[in-house]
Amino acid sequence: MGEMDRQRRAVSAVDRRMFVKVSAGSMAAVALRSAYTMDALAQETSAEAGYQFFTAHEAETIDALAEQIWPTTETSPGGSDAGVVVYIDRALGGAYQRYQPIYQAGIQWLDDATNEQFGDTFVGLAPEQQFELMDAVFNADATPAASPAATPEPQVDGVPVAATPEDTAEIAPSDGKVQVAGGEGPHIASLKAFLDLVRVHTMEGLFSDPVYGGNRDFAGWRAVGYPGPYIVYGAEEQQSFEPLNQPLQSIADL
Amino acid sequence: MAVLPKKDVVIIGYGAAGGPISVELSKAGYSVVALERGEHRTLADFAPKAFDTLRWVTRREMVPTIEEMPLTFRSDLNEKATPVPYIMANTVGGASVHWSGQSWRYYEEDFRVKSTIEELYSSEQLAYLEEDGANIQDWPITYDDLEPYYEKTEYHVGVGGWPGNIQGEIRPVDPEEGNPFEAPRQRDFPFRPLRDNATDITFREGALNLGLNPFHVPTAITTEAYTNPDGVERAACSYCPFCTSHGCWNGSKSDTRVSLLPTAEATGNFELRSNSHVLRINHENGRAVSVDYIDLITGEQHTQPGEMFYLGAYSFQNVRLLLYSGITGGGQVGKYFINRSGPSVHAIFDDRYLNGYAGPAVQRQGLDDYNGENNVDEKLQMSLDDFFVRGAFIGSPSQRNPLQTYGARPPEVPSWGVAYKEYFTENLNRYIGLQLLQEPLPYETSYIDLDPNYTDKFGVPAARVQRQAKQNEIRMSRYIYQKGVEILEAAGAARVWGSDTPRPSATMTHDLGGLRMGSDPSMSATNRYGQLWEVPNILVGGGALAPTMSGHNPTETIWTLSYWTSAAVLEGKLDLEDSQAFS
Ligand SMILES: Cc1cc2nc3c(=O)[nH]c(=O)nc-3n(C[C@H](O)[C@H](O)[C@H](O)COP(=O)(O)OP(=O)(O)OC[C@H]3O[C@@H](n4cnc5c(N)ncnc54)[C@H](O)[C@@H]3O)c2cc1C
Ligand code: SF4
Repeated sequence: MGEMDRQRRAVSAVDRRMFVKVSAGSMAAVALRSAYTMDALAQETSAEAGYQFFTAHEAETIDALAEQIWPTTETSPGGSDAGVVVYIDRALGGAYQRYQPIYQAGIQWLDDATNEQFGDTFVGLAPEQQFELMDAVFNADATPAASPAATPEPQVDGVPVAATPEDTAEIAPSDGKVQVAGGEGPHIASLKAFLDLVRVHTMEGLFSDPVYGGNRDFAGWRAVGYPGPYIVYGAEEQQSFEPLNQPLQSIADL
Repeated sequence: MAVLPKKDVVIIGYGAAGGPISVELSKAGYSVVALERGEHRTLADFAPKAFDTLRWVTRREMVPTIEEMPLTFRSDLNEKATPVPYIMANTVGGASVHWSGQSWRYYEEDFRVKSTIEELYSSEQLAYLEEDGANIQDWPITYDDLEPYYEKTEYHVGVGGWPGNIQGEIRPVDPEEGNPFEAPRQRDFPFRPLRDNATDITFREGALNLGLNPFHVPTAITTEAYTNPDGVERAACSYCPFCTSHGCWNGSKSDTRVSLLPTAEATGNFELRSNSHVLRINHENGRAVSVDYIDLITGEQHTQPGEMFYLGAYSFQNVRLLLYSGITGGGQVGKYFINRSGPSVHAIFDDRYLNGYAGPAVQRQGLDDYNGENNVDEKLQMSLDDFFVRGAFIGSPSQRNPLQTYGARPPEVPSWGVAYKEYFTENLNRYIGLQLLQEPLPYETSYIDLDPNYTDKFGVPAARVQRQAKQNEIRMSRYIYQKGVEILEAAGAARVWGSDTPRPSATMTHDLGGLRMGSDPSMSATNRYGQLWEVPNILVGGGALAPTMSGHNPTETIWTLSYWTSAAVLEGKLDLEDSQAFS
């Protein structure tokens, strides 16, 4: 809120004049406002300065997880080549700042777990060992302990911060929060919730527009046969029962 | 705190419901102000540069955060409710900006569910409803009351379709694409709906193979250049697939902002204040006098006095505002909340690509053979353990881009790793998921109240939702699941999967009841025009008015009820001093 809304207010006064005649010729309005969108995107994806949030070790860990979640196969690149870690890093430095503590803790839980089982950090393991560990965690029949005392909830004005849409919907469907295991070591349910969050963010890094830093060279979209944004679809394309084979494009190309 | 000049009409929340009344009353010379907590987004905000599912769907840029719009949920009344995400847009035009645009008239019998089921079924068959605390009432109005206003919605807001029934003639136009079960309309739609795509053709084949009556659903999308009766010009839809949960770049998806706001503004009597969050309604001696609101940009608080107040802030917020303002309607405010939960059915095809990403979600065929009591003959044959009342629309949505679809996989496929990747890369464009729009029932134990544990950042308690799926919903889900599976198998699907169990939740985008209309003040919150029994100069808009739901989406009826209430004001059918003195 604030400056952006002030601008919006000013702009909406201009746009109001255009209301009555809303037509396909509304591209003037497009030009008027696209400046805002693109600035914000450019800021979020200026990759030159290395990672915005991750340490080198954290980045390597997330990169390895993304590769396990979406592995390189004969037909297409995996999560690592698709730049998923760049997407997640930019997100954590921006729109997903609230997840920073979860990532920091989660990577530590993961390393604690692999140290205990294999005597090394996650990135130090062979890919097969990484898979084995992840498979065990994902398949664990574990949900976070429901005791409120065991799960400190960060609150803003009485509302748990952790219970944002993504948290309740995706981190831990069972009770809406990642367990912060105070002094008791990593909790399998917390780790499972963390890995599932990384899974969801990996999907975002594969299938969001490349302007967000992931989906590098359209690796995610190309793999699944999605061409990116198109403005118009005609009957012939829509009624085809064959692959459409459209050239790939980004919102940066529109 | 500044007290602003008084207005004749103060609209609280400018979404779907707020639109028609803003036009009708400002045209008639009333001074009207709409206080809308959302921003004023325009077409430019949704331009092709913003064809960005991450922004609008994943990160929900138009939807308020949980701190701004807290909502909590519980099914079990003995448990503490937990916070859940809000999913309705807060923006000028409300959720009608990011809706899909599937647009229906309700059936005649949707307004008289109680009478209908009592006519068709025995008290033995219906006994379980009483056990479960169902509280079903007929609406105090009929389809015929609303018919002219449905027409007004279709022509002014902009709804296209194939007619299923014009003045009693079934499927009167060629090709015979309309819904044969539709209630009679006096007049055809102003234009046709979207075309069929590969998914629709496939679904239709399956339905026809089973002898069912598929049709292309009516859509509030201008499929050709269209000028509404007030002169608002609209462009033809481009079938871009950034439609549901996104705003339309082209002004083709009908919403309050593109369809109605221009007309209200042109009167010179209407003022829209965006970023204006209403905190409470002040009332004295049984009449509302003003609202307090916060300018979300400056943080200043203002008091807006008015003669008449229209609640258009969506079911949860309408109820919450009233309760927080101390208006309880003798316990009726918040009761009989209804929303959907139901089964899911998914499939992949191995003989064809469907390319479901290449079109908007609302491009769909559907059928009503299992909706309402259209399948009465089958129901009469059911055992008492399987029997249920009401039913569901079944349809074939699109807009299956990978970011919205990555979660759809059969149970044997894991959620990550090589097996997942191989599944998803082969099948994204061979996948279809059905829309199964079940009609749930109102129950004594389903209601909205104020949460004792959570507040928003202004200290106002969260809306707390209690909702259950009971025997009727559970039996209906099993049945509708089976029907969905049959249709996709008949269409040639290679693998069909899903769930036949309803999972109740706080919000399903169709959240009705809570302020139901009725004839008896001890059993309803408003009279037949949406006027609160308790405070006669507060008029209610939106789905909260509905005593029962429907197996169809609600918004065309929400717009229509706003026209209906406006007409009652203009024709002097209601008395702002006395809710019982209506005609
Ligand atoms: C993704 C999606 C798809 C949908 N698809 C369909 C469909 O295909 N067909 C259909 O019929 N329906 C559909 N719906 C439902 C439809 O959007 C709603 O039925 C409709 O918008 C409800 O109208 P309303 O006026 O009651 O509320 P809204 O349109 O939600 O408007 C309420 C407005 O009030 C404002 N407000 C809330 N609280 C305050 C406050 N305290 N102060 C000031 N302003 C406030 C909000 O910001 C909002 O703008 C869909 C909804 C969603 C989210
Ligand atoms: S499909 Fe049509 S109505 Fe929907 S957003 Fe695109 S142009 Fe607008």
